[in-house]
Amino acid sequence: MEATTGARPVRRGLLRRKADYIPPSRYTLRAALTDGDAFTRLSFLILGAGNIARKQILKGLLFLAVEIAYIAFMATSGAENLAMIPSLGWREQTAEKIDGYWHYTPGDNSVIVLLYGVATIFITLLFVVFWAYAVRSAYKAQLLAAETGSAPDFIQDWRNITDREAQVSLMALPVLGILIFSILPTLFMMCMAFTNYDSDHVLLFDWVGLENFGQLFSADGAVNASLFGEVLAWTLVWAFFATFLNFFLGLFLAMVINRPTTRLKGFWRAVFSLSIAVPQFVSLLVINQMLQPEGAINRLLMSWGWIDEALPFFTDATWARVTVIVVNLWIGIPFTIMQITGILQNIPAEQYEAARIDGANWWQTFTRITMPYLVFVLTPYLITTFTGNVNNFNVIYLLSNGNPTPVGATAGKTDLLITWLYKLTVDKGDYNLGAVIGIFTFITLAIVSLITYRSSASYKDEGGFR
Amino acid sequence: MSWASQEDQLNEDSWLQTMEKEFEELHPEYDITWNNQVVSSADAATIAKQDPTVAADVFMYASDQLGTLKEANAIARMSDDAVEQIETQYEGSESMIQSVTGDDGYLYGAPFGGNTWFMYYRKSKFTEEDITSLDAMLAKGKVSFPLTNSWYLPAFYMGAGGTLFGEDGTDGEAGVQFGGDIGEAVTKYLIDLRNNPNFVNDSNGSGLAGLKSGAVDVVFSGSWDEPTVKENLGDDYGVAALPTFNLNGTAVQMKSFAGSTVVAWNPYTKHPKAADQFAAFLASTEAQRAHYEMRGTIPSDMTLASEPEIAENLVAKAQLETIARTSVVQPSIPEMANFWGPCENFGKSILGNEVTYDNARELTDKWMASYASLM
Repeated sequence: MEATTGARPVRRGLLRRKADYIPPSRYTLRAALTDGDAFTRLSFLILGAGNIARKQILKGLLFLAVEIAYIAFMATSGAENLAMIPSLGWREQTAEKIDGYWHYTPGDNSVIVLLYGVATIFITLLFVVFWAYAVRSAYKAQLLAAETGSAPDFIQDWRNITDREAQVSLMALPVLGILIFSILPTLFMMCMAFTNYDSDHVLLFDWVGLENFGQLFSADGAVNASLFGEVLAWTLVWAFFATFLNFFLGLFLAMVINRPTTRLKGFWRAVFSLSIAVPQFVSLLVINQMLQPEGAINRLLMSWGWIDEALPFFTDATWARVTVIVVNLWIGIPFTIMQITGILQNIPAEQYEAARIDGANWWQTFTRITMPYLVFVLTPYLITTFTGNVNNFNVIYLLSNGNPTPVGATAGKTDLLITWLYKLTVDKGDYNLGAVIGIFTFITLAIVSLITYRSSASYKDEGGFR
Repeated sequence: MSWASQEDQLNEDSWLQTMEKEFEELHPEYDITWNNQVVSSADAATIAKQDPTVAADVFMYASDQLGTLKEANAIARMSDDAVEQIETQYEGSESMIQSVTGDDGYLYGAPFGGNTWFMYYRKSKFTEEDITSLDAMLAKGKVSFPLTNSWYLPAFYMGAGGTLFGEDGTDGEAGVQFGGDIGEAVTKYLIDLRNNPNFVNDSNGSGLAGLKSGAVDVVFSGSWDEPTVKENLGDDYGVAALPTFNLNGTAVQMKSFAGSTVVAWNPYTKHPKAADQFAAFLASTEAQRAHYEMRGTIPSDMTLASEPEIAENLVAKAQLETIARTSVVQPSIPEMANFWGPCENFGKSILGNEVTYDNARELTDKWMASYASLM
């Protein structure tokens, strides 16, 4: 694309924009309807008709086959799936006794109804996109046939998408994967937030609109506004400390090890990385055991006579919160050391050299060279770490399990949104409330990451520091 | 396909495989392909309710999950033949039949073994008199009790007259009634218990470890811990039904939950008749005897209990006595699933000094209020 713009004598700013400029396609649905001939218009109903008329037989047949497959799918099960969505099923299981033995006829299962319904809607949307593409393709074939004498045949098309338009064929599979494995399940989960799918409605449930969202902002109940606010605030506080304490302490250690006068660099790095070698969940469970009231740490301190009563590691809210943050340091710092060591070694030595000649002291080189460089490179990493910490299920669930939990509450003092979600869905079966909290976690994360990333140097000055 | 615990299907000679072979001989009319999977009775309901259509044809579950399974349409009624078999097996033990009876009066599955907890103790420390009173034992030795385990904690409240879902545990509307004056008194007793230097909280196996090291003289547990206890205590091995505790001057009997492990079949099976027959067969007198001989589990079948070999077994005696005299049938309605979490939290709050004499009443009532909002 650079080559096409090179020759034009335009102002610099304009040229930059022009480089990525792609003119809108002239093969639009509207143009196909107004300017298309009979075959092209027939393609609105029978996909591929226009292509077949321009001797793109294989392509036309493929379009037609997709249409037939879609109609067949809708006729056999799709239409029924759609029809079931508004009610989410109503038939109950029935039993009858034959010769003293019970025989059962299964009833509707709302989860399945919902899943199939969402998938059918999804397939229909995909088909609409495909339909538009096929119609435009018919119109394009008509125009090309009129302009050049013949529309490209299948072999030419094939060459095209494997060579000049290779991005289309290369991206097709990943995009399809994202649609099927992340968008579809997300939509399915979000639908649950509008139903009463909880432990009391396991098989048959109904749409309830925004009731669950109302529940989240109500004054009482298993999930309520004050509890949500408290968990959300702690989640953000936790993510902040877990991210930045790890970062700065890891940075400090990495720089100490990286000093020219430090001997045995490899040895120190290996020592600090040892905790990575033990699987996280093992160390977390072991630490959980050690910090129990009758655990090793309390016993040791008591036998030394330092304390009279067990330290309330997971029974006092403040203690528990500090404990999870401190233990997380131990789990997380080694990774930061590794990460930062790599970047520190990558900072051009001439810059330090020049700074030294100019008479900069240690603090000045740190704030003017090291930090900007690190922050520039690491902002996206810090955002993902922050996101990861908001959803840091392992550390909280395995270490404190959300404790201490006040009497009668569904979330403990160290519960994050994600562990709360887990407790509501897996332990209690309240999938609807879980879905609502999932949606709010997503919103929180989206806001935080977008704001930080859009205002970071990595985004604004893409291509800097090359 | 059938689900059972790991230990029952280790190899070709294990209990489940042996039973399958015998069942095939009994019913030559079926051509069965066996497919055994490891799903413990405690997890059956959780897994089955996720998608009953792919759950095992025959599975074992813990009786308190009956309500959950029923709500998920994941459990089927027993045939007339099976009901007859169960009624003969459990003549005189109403609680076992009650544990598998749904709220519609039908029997869902056949009881296979009793499930409750009682007391193991160091024999040389206590007299026959001592072991009938928790306070007497606390005065003489170290007592370990799982205060933070919601299967054990209710023993004090239920003993003092608290009820779970009405008198017979089937009334979901009645809710949990551990509050009021009695609840306050029990909570205060538990605070005293926690402050007693001879009390040790039992969590993560610390009780059994204490028995071995000598730091603990009494633990509360069930028949599954018998081999470990025997090994840890050696000649000092003692086992007994639950003791009483002293609530404001009166001796109150602790009452444990009693439930059963149940064999049941899945209504989504393609072969309902065969599944029903196999489930009933797995819970039959012969199968239970085989299980006792192979794995030492205490059978629940009353006809077996009177056999001399089992009648002389100390653990069997303690278990049968507990079920008969000092137990409450573990409610099997779906609301029961909400009971455990808050109860465990309350235990933790007591242990963590959050509950004090001053707020005992308030927090006990708050605990009850959380059930009111959950049910």
